[in-house]
Amino acid sequence: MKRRVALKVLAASVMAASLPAVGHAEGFPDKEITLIVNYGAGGGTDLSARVLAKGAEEFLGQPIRVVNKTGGSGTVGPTNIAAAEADGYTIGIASFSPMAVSPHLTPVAYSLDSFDFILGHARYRSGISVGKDSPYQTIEDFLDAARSGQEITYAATDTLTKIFMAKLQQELGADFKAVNYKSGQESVTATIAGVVDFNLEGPTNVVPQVKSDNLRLLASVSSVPWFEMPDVPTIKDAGVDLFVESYAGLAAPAGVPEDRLKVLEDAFAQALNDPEVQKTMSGLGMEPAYFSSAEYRTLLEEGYASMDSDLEIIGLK
Amino acid sequence: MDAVLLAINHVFAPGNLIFLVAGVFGGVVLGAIPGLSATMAIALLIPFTLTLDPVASLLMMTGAYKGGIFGGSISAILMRAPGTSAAAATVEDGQALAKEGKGLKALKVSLIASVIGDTFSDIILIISAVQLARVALQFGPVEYTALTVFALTVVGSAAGTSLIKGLIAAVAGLSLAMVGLDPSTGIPRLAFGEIHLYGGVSLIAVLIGIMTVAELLRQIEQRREASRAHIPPPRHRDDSRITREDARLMARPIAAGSILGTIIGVVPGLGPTLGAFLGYDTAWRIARKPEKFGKGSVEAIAGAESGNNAVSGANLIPLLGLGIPGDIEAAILIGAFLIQGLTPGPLIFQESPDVVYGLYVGLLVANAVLLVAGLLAIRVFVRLAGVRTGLLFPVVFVLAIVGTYAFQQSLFDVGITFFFGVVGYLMVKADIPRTTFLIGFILGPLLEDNFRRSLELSSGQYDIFLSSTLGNAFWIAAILSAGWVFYQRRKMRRQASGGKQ
Repeated sequence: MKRRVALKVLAASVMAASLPAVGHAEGFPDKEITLIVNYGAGGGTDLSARVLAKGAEEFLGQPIRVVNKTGGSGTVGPTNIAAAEADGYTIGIASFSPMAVSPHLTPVAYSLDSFDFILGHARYRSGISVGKDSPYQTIEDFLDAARSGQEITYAATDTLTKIFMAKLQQELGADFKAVNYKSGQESVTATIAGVVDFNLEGPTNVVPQVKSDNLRLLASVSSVPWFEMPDVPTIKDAGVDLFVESYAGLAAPAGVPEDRLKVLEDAFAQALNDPEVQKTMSGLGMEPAYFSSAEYRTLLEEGYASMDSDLEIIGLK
Repeated sequence: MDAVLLAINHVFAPGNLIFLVAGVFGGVVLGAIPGLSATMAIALLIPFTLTLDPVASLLMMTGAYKGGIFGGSISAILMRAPGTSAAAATVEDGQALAKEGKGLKALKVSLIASVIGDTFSDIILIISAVQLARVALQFGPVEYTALTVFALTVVGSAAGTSLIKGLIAAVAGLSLAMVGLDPSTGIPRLAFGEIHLYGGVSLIAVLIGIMTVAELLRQIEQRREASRAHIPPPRHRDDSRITREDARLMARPIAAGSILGTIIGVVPGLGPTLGAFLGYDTAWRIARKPEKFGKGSVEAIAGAESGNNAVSGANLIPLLGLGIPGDIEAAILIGAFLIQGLTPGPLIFQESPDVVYGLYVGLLVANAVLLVAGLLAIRVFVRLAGVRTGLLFPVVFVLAIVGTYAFQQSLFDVGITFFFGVVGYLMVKADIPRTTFLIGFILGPLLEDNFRRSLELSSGQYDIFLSSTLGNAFWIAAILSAGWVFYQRRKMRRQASGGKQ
């Protein structure tokens, strides 16, 4: 008897769950939104996503719950976004690397078409920094040494910077040797300890060490100088026409109703405009940078397309 | 001096003290619940750092960390279900004592050792953070490789009765650590196209499976005991307290564990689990009663528990002295610094000495709070463990599964836990030690990354491994340590057979 009742309850709940969700476009959002972050809690990407989410809550009138789905070089997060229901209540970080680079290297269960992009919100920057006892005082010293063909070691943490270094090596006729590290923190430590000659990390890890006089930033290798150290030139200023850049943005699973996407884009764009949010993001070493939904998609598509030949340069394709 | 007085005021301000106490208590409870861990306690606290005053949020996090590491031992001792990987070294001896009705004694030994280890490493942090931090820079890939090989020799003491089986398990653990993205190319390895394996197999999922779930499977076998209390009540007053004899046994391992744990903490990337195993190992080597190890040794618990807690204070040394995090928890603290607009590293001493001194005073106060929180918690948990097994273990099972899922909100991890539950069960049946498996699994990435980095630096020349003095010292230590293992084992065998005659 008991069992039969239990079965009925089970059947009823299964039926309830399979009823289609009714969307109220004008009432969106009427419940909590989940934001999936593809990197670990407490890192730069995570904390800036949390700050941005906190800002957007005000405009959405609903809480945003941040969930970390880490692993697979940041591809597990987007996999979960792509698989979520396209109702606008599950969104997440779709950063440049897992969107444009990883699909070339690893089988992933998504493509750029699996997503509707909400906006791009930040730029990851990189720079060449050396230990304080390094012989290279300026970017020119560094480039001269590289052109002479002497072996120079660097700490490598991701594919994008490795591609950049391979291009720079071709351009200069240099002999760069990559030593692989798993995090920016580790690669900065190795530079301070003198294990490698330089690294290509971003402001999050490098700026505190420059302030503490453990590292010297020679040049930004992004398209812009670092706003934390505006006096340090870009490598383009030094006559090398190359740069490497990566971005963070938000995406929803493909198929979210237009009007809901608009609500999300507006809310996050407004949050990104908030000086408080910008200040906190900057403090974390992320440069707030707004790209509209369409701009962000183009950025990723171009990046994805160019990656085929780029990966060939470093022998991964 | 004014700064210190100010800091004392700051820490004892009701607003801050509440966060500190809440952090420690929360850490102990979360750590003690099988499936929930210290890392999780800290991750739960991250959102608070967006809004809280820097000292309050740092105190809450470090409090939760200290509490969590001790809390992990409570369930290790009472239920053979370590709450954190750092408590894995305590499982066998703690549980053996608990089964004799000496659970409260084991817990008290663990608490005292933890608090002393914590306090020792905090004091070292306070008197010499900036100077000692430079030590972290002495460790390049070669030194790490040699150090990891040396650390692997603790397999000798953790292997239990059969060294061969211990080695087999350690190698299996090392092999499991190779699943995931190749560290130099970023291409998946041994992942069989499964995206959830790209990031490697989750340590938490393996730990809960191989220890907690395996233990539950063993309990199912003992059907008749379902109505009996899980651990028996104490038979004698001395079963529940630290006797003079216990105190005498504890002194040396605690001293050794505190020193070793502190050294481990100063070197980035090693972490409290290694601190615990090295503490255990050293305790075995200098033990007055080495034959008791694995069968309810007070010395073992004291060594392991002082070893893991001593890491917690010391891994702030590279953080404050250089701006380099000692482990994952310290890396999260760096995020907390940045979001508050502080510069992690020595600059913080000039930028905001109030935060540094507040942290110092807070750490010491947190140790006192841990002592109180621990004494309260162990009474409650001993009571809980006295519940009959038929009621207790289903609850533990649910918590273990929920905890595994909650850590990364991953159902795949729950599958991993079940799989390793069966593996752990079979290992128990075959008398293969699970602790050496865990040691291999934890040290695997450290060994591989640094081994390959060394070869990347030398363009494949193996002589680089003998190029550093510090590295060579570790190689010699590793050889001596391995030799000592054979010597000690032969001596024990001889004594054992001599005893029989």
